[in-house]
Amino acid sequence: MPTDSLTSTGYGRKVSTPLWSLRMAWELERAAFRGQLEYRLNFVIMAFLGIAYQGSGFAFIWVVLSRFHTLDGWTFHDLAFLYALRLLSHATWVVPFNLLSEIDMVLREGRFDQFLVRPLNPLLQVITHRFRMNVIGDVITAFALFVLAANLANVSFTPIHVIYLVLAVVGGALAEGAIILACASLSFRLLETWALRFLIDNVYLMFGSYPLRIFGAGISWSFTWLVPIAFVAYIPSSVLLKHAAGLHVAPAIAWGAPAVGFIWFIAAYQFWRWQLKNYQSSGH
Amino acid sequence: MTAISLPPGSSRALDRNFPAYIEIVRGRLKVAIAYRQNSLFLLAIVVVQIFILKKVWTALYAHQTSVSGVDRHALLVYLTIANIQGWVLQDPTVSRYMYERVRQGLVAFDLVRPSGFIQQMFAQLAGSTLSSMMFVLPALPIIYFAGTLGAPASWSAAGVYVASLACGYVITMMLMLIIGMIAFWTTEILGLTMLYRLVSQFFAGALVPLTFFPGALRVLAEALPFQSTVYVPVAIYVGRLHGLAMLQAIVVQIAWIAGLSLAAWAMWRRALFRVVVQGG
Repeated sequence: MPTDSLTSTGYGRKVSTPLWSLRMAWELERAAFRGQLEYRLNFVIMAFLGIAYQGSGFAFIWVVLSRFHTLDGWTFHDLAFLYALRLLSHATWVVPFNLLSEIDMVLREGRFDQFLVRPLNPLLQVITHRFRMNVIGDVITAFALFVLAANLANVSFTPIHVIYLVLAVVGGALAEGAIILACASLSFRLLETWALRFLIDNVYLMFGSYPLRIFGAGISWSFTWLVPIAFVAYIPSSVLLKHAAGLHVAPAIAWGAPAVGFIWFIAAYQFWRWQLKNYQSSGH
Repeated sequence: MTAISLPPGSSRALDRNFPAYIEIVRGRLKVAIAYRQNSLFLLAIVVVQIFILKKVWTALYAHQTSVSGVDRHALLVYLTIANIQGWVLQDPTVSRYMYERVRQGLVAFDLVRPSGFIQQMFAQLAGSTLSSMMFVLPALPIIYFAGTLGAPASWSAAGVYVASLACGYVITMMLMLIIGMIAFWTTEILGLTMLYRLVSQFFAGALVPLTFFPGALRVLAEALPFQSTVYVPVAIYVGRLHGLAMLQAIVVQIAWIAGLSLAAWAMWRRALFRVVVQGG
């Protein structure tokens, strides 16, 4: 059948538009979410676990700062805001993309074959084929801590700051996601990358939740320009908390932080498409 | 079911089955080597954590050398050793292994083997500890630069540390066994093992020594068994715990061993009647 006849029905063109793809992905994600809601007890347990996991890092900061009061000039309120902002970015990333963590299994079991023959971007299919409930715990903790920290810390919420905040959360999500996506792309060749992704996840969590400069100039530089950790929360919260004077980057770059995540993610997506060519079916 | 009715821990059964335990330990080592890439990444997380703790605590101390009677150098040594020790002793894969045996019904085969199930699990734990050590020892030079390593406070502190560490190891084994056995009732413990890791790491004092816990939290931490696994031995190592307080802490460790062993034994008696082999 010539492609012209397909497009002339209007159907072929509809399939290829990005908007249609996104609507389709949204429908699939909703179906996956509703599917998981059937397991009610599991939902509660997994959500609770997510809260405990993300909350335990905060407990450390709380216990330590109740004794020491400041960390390199940052008060408990400042650190709470930094921690909450990182978590908010993290949650913004994991809610749509949590299923990337199953890429190893999807590839090894040959399930990726079916994603290739359906008329929807394979990446969108990977991330919408199921839903992992523990991310709900991340979302609950992120919002609760953010509301708490935003009230405690001395943050200015002028319209321009609010726009910057929203963009920074999205940009931060993409700055974390870019590295995870690039690493997941390596699974097409290596077949197993979960431990490496777990390490990256932890590096973002551990380095991203503190004022980066306490780790020294070399690490500050590396985790700004080689791996975009500083752009997730440290730089944006420095701007919002008026700690920008202590930053290792120029104010213009600090205000442009959200854009960095977008650029990284575009590059990571190109890398994914390039690695996709290495896919070898496990045989069906 | 006759195999299980062998008196647990009877010395004759232990002798006869000893080669079997060696094989289990060797199997664990082989798994660790086969998946060395994963083991290395997981070890890297511990090294990063040690580095972060060092930097965060150094920044917290600012330019003071001592806070609340805790010397900065001793604190950094404490944190480094506590985290290495925590990683070597607390391999969560064994609880997970138990859970998978129960869930897939494979536990039936474990139960009919001549060696007791509990003994098999102890061999698994010993194997996983050995394989963790296999990775930590070559990494010590890196850990030295990421964290702070130092000699024990004194010769006697070193001796008591080894004894206290042994007690801590037994407590860890018992706790893992109890967590794993819960699978006989619920057939699902993945969430529980993750929660256990978070709670035990925090209350064991691997991130903040118990000395710095605020009032009520400290009372809670001292009432839980986790402090006996990490805080007590490492605090003895750096000389934070000494004299009467040290002896007291070791008595508490021995009491926990007795209490947890009893609880594990009671659970095991009941667990056997709960075995449901799915599709078996």
